[in-house]
Amino acid sequence: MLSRVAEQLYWMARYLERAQNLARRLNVMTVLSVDSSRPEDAWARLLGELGETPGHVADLDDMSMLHHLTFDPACSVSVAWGVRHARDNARLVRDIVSREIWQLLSQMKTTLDVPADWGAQPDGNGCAEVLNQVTLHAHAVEGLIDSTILRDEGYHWLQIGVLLERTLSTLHVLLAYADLWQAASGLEPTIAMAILKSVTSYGAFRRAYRTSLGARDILEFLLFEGGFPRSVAGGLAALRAAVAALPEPAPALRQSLGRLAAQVVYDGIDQVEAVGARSYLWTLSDRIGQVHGDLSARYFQPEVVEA
Amino acid sequence: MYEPLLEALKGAGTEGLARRERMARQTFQSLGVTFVTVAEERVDRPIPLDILPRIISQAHWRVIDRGIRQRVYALNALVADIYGAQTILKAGLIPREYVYSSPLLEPRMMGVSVPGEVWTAVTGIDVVRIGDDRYAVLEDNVRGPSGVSYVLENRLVSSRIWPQQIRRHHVEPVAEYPQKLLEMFLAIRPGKWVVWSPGVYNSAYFEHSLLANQMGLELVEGRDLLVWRNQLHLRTTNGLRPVDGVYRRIDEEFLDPLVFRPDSLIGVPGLANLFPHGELALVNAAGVGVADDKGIYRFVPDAIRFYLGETPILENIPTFLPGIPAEYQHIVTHWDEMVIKPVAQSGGKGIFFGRAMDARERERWRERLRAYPRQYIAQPLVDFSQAPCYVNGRMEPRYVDLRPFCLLGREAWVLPGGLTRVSASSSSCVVNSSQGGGTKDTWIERRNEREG
Repeated sequence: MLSRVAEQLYWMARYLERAQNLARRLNVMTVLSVDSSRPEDAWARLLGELGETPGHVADLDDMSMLHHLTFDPACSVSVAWGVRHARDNARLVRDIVSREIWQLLSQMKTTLDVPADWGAQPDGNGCAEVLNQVTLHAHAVEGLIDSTILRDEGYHWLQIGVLLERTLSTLHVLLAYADLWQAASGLEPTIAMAILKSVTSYGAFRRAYRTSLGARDILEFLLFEGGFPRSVAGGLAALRAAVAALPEPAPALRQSLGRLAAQVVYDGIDQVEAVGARSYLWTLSDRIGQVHGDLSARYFQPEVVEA
Repeated sequence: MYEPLLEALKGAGTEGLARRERMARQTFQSLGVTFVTVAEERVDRPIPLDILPRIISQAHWRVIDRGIRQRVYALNALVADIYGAQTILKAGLIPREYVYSSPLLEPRMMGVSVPGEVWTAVTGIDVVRIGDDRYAVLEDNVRGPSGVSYVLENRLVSSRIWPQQIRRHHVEPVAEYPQKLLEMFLAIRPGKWVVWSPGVYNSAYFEHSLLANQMGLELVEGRDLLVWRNQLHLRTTNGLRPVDGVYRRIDEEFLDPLVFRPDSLIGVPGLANLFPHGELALVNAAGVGVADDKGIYRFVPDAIRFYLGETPILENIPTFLPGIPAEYQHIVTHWDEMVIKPVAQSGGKGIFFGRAMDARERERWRERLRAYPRQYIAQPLVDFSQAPCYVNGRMEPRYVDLRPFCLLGREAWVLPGGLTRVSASSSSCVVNSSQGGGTKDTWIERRNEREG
């Protein structure tokens, strides 16, 4: 497969997954900022998680912030930005993604076009509705990838993009609340629920841990529960399998992914507590981030090799 | 000849025609031919398709088919000869300095041989009908003629709106073009072929991706290619993979920024170094532009007689060269009949009509032609045929030309059909699509009515 095409499929999947995760986060925020005793705290955590946010964004009020992070196509962390870039990448590989996927991406982009009269008066309900729709459409694209795409290399690249982004996104949510995992006071139930819902894991968690909403259990579940697809362990296991399907993975890449996948299988919450949650999560997310560099060097920028 | 269709038209009435036009539009949309929103601000729409097909009888088509093949053989021999033994120059049939002064001559190709000695592998020679049984060549397009995707898509649409008529007329199919194209590539050089497009922002990108898809070849861009150790490679997730042949849909001047235009971001550095090795098959070969030169056009009938020993089947339009004193005199004394064309342009660009010029302009042109005689040619206006078109709910006559597509591998093959282009109004005889015209599906009748 052409390196350029592989890279475009990979980024299409990553951008879409990123937009989907943010849309879900924002949707939870609309509820959380109503329920929580300290809403500004929740927004600060979200912004910290997104990384480099433009300076002026931090000064916005809740509603404007929500509006901005949903619709602003010029802001590199917004949902609209992710969707647009997913679509731009898909356009260049239209012979591989099916027509339905292309149509859905175009529809998502239209959904996120700000109505002209909205700029002045952001509307929480309007945002929530749009965010819901984006999440649903993104799931529909996932379904189409699953049901309409030939299982060749192109499919693996889409999978790798989705899984890498998803795993990192779960880790970032955990990192945003790193201080709370070790706090003696435990989690406020609203916060606990918000965290779980941010990774659509509330129902799954409830089934695994019938009675508890404890910080330790949530952290353990989202890190190590191999049976849950959005947990770090679940994501890494699937990512490792997808990478193994690529042509001749470089030894370094196989090694680092194998180590990561093994780590989250054999580590337990005790190992996390031994080094501190923040430090454990940081190291993990850093190593997973490194996988992108390895993939890129091996597959997206093939080097001249003397025969 | 048009009888079965005419019957259908009478039966259909205005209502039926309007319905068919709607069907055509919907079909185009559902096929996704609404030419991809290319850039955010630029939307490429399909050239409008006229729902009435143009029908060409088998007898006429035989003339066109033979004439095109003859001409393509001669054009290929001419290009090979110009960059090779130059026998036609030695014989004095084309003045040497006239060839050497062509802006489309590629000096780097001098003495180079190309795989299979095929230079003009894909051609789209524009012909017009100038009499009952007479067809003339308007121009020779060998620098990546486009439009074949319209031929394929137009047929998909018209087979939905005229299904019975297509059967009754026994229309020659056009769908085999991509397969023939692929076979031609492999005849020139077996191995790994790719289709090279300037990218998604090119207006013909739809065509590039359609052809690549239907041939099962990879659609690549300049950044996917790399020259290493005198071999062209593809950057793949499996490392570098050698490429043997390239169907390039990118202009010659953009091929290699080290040799041609240095500002080309879509080219491949070092590509031109591969030409002298003669290993890489490029379709069309670099340097073929010289056969596109509108001045050289005048000598093509001579080339047919010289290389093939045959009489030209398709006529040439009389062409006057300002560099020849007698012809210069003829041009400047017959302004009303003359069209001035620049030799190196294509796509109907830079054409001037003598009858539209006032005295001052004519004086300016008189000077211009004297100062730059090699840059222009002059031709008399030709009266060519019209065909009925369905425009805004009624029938109107429009001027039409025909671009049959010819492939030259081991031998020449002409796609039975071609792109019929329609003038924008019934008074204008400019049929170029960039001038706002449209297209028609072209039906070649498989059986000759007179033969039964």
